[in-house]
Amino acid sequence: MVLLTEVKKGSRFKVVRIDEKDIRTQLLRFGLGEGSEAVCFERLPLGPIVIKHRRQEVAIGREFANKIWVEPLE
Amino acid sequence: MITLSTFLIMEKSAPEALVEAEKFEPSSSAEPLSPALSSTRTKLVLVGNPNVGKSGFFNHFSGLYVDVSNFPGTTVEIAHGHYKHYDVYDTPGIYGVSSFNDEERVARDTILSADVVLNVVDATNLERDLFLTLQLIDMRFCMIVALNMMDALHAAGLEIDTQELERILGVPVVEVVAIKKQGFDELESRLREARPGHSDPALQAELQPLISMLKPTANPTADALMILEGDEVIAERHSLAPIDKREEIYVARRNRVNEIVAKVYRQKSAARFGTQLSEKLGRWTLHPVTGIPILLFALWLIYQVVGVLVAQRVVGHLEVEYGNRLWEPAVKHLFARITPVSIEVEVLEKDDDGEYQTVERRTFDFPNGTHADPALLEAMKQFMAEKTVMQNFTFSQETLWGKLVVILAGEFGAITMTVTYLLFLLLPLIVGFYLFLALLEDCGYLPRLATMVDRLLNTMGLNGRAVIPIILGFGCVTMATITTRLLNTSREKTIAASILNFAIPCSAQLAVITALLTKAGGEYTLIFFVIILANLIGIGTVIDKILPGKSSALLIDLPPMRLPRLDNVAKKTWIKTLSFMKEASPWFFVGALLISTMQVTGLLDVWIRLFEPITTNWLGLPADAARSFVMGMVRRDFGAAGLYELALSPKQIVVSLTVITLFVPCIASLMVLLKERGLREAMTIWFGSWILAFSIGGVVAAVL
Repeated sequence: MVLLTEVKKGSRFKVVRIDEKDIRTQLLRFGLGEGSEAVCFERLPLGPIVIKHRRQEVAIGREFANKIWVEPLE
Repeated sequence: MITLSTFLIMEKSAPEALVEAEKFEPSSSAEPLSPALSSTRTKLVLVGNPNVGKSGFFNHFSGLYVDVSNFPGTTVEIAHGHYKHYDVYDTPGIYGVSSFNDEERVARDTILSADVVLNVVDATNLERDLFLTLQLIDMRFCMIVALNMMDALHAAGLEIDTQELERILGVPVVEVVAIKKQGFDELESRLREARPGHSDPALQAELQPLISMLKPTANPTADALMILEGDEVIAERHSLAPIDKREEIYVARRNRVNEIVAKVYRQKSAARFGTQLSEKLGRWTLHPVTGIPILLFALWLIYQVVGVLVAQRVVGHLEVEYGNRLWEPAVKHLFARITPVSIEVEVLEKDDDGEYQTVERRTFDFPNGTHADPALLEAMKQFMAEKTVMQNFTFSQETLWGKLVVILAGEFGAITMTVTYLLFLLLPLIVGFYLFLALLEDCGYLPRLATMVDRLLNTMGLNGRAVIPIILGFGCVTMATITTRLLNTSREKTIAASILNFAIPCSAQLAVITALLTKAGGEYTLIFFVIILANLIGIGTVIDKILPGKSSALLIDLPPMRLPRLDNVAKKTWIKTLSFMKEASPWFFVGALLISTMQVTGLLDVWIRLFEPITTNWLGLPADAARSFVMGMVRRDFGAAGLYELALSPKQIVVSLTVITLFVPCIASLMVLLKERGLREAMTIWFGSWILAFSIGGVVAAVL
């Protein structure tokens, strides 16, 4: 299990745990919950991580991404 | 904090009890007998996620145009219109009914008072959109779902089993392509079928005891659900404590959405070329190698069009030709008929550079007003005939009437200067800026821009969303201060408002600054920009450190890139310009009244004299520069323009420009600041600017 900030660009992952309640509820509304699968679409140097989940792209600021634990998938 | 928009909504939704009494029964009737009677009117509220094309529906139903926003957070007002016996309300795009930010709070109150909900859903993004749909169903609203963007769904090679979706949800589901106006007929004919859908029985059972504890309200189930989901405001309205079951409910709802999506969605074929291109373009805007050039290009284009073309050429022309030479003399002549006045006529000719130069002056005195001396007035007209002239009116201030004339039609007159500024200076700038904002919004670039600059803004305690007010600030700080509303927390609003009002020169001022810096030379230009940039970052960082609490990180939905629709862009620009002008205009009149009253009573001169020691000793500038700083309080470019008239050395130019840039926000900005951020914060920023501007100016003067 690694943090979302450590996921390589282009790789798939599964969300395992989100450590902050606010992000958890907001991401649930975007369609992303603990257990959802997504792809790391883009990583901006020191900046946000952009993930793609189905047809939906979401930009997640570093601070939030550091609270999201994921399991990389092959 | 209550913003103006929230306030308006609160006013609008006040007769909630009334609505309750006349609650619409969807199964009971087809068309009402008398649509004109207010007692039979039904409140139809449009609800949907951002970028689902909701406003196209509003447009269709109400015949009115409304903002079609593609950037989460640009619409905070709620528009309303009429269709048959329905009162139609549009709401800002939201991902769920709750109170995470201002838009949600505004939308929440309108939704909760709805009789019928039209839920607009993006067919290509069911997984996200159905979350809101299910929440509305859980609230037991009479509702109908419009499945929009069916064309995009097919282009992406996807298919939805609409009948199955309708069966599962238990409410009518209609396929629509809003931009092509397909499916509206069916939607209209099925509107009366709107009904409560299939909610989660366990959740409904949990809501029952809560419902019995509520005060009378439009939709008890909805209010009860809000309380169960931990909404403090709604709980307070019923004098209950919020129950925090939000997460539990959200997770269950999310699972229901996923099940539904798995049942109704099918990938049929590969995506078409257009969809693939939009995806590629979207990727390029975010990739650092391609994204930064795209960003720089966008900024350069905005600067060229708004900063150079509009701010300098168009405004320069309109302000002088229509404001100073047409409107103002016309008004002043009207007052001059019965007011003692001396009119100095300057004859102008264009020199080789196309700038006006005065070639001749003549003064005409009318001690009893122009009406009393028709011969002299005729002589003056003869003198001006066929020439380009500027007329300078000096009204006698000996009588009270004379003073009043100066207040209304003098140098800073409420009728003269204000109208010129509003129509010939501010209006073109605002149109230019909103046009670009609309283009950027409609093509889906803004949220990507916010993502690109997120890291940079983090250093100042802001997140990427703040890029909108900051970009706008270079156009007009007043307008930008209004848009700080779209930021998530009060802390971020404070930081953004401070940066804007402390350190960002507006485009009107930038034009004068550019001209002055050309005089000073390249080396000094560079020094000036380093000083201003350092200040901007410095102020942001310091305020971030001082303010308690923590700013929110970026979490933003990136809509697909698409070609902007020009009619949409034009309408949006028009609507936003109009609403800005309505909001800002009164404050310009207030400002003009204030400063001209100071002028008439001699307070203005007292102020200028008070300033002189600081100007000459501390900053090393000529005493006359003090006048510019006072003018700068009315409008910053006013002050900068005043500096243009003085003979300054390059060093003095840098010092004076630094001071005028960091100096207090103009009257209009101050008024907006008072309204948006409150007395204490506005005053801190205003007085802080004095200290900051003069201390940094002094340091620059000493070091250079």
